Amino acid sequence: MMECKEYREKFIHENLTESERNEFTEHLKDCAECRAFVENYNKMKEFMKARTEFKSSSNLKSKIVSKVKFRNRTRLLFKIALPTAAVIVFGTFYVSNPFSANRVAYEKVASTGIKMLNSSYATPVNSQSNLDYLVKIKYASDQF
Amino acid sequence: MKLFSLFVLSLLMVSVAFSSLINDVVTSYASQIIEGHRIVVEQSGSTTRIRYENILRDGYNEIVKIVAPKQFEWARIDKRTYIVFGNEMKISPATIVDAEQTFIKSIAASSTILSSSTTYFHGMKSYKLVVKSQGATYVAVILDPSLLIGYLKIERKKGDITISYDRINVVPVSYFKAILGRFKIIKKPPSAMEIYVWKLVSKLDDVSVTTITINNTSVAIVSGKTKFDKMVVAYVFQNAKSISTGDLVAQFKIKGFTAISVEREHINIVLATKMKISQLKKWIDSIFK
Repeated sequence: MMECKEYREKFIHENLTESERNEFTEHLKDCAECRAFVENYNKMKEFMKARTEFKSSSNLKSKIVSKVKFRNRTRLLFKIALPTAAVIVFGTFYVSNPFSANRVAYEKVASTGIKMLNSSYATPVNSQSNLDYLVKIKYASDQF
Repeated sequence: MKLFSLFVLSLLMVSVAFSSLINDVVTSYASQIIEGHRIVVEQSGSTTRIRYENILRDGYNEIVKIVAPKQFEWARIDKRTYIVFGNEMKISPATIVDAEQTFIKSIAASSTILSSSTTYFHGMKSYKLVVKSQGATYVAVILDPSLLIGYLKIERKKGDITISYDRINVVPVSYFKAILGRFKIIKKPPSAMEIYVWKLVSKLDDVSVTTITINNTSVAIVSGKTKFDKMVVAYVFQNAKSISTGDLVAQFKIKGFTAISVEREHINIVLATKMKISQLKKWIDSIFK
């Protein structure tokens, strides 16, 4: 007579001889633990069989494929298309009118003129311009 | 009676002689080739401006170098005004007036001699003429016998101009041409930008021009006072998509100023002031008409 462990190992590996299988059948009548083991094993075996032998319908297949494709497209949209579109929209706006995108810059530019308007003297400090000579023309010309 | 007749006759003879002198001065001026140094004083109301100038002149052609207060060189060649930039002469957007040449042209057209006498200028025998012509009174000291103008004062309602030579020499015929030949004369007309900035500069007192760059576009900021003593600031730039005139105008309006933008010949001009909008529009029309 074999031990429980030996029966179980030979059982799952299907190594039991004819006489051993009969002995194991007799053993199961008396051993509740081995009975539970065999039941669990058979349930597991059925489950594995169902998983490996399952054939989905073509309808289910196409549904799954289309769902996967949709999910991939959505992922692509969020990962590439949306940032690209944002860059294009922002870039176009920036190239066509970058300054209006920056009110602070306008404020800064206007502040130069506002300082002049608020000053009683027109000449700004350290003024430099390649058009300075136009002012010199004014003062080089005798005022007629 | 005889004495009175003699007096009148002598006066007439002197008058004829000085009338002839005016003709001689005008004729001589066109053929004089001189170099000199002169001081020009302009007085208008409480404002006095003084310039020191080196002058090289061949008839009506001249190269004038202002040495003080600010260095600047210009030339008049064949009735056209040029600005000197290093070794180049470029066409000026505005005519530069030389009061001396205005005097010659005025007396050549018509003049009334108010008084005439002989005098000495820097130790040289000279004639002093007081002439009225075209709304101005000219006091001129003409050197004898060269007929060079040594001193000239122009008196007008709007102010006086005094030109006084502290050095004046006749130079060889080829001298002016030799100097002029060193310059490259560029006949390209001034840009629209230069013309519009000049239009503003010419109409403003205490005027200044400063240049800034916005998004690779050069913007000239012209500021000064109108004849009504109102400060005006103008942003002048080539028509560019990179700058929104509307946004710039808005910035001034936010701060309580009157602002407007105008476009002429692809030039954008944003003007801001404390004047009323109607006044500003009127002023703009008077400048850019």
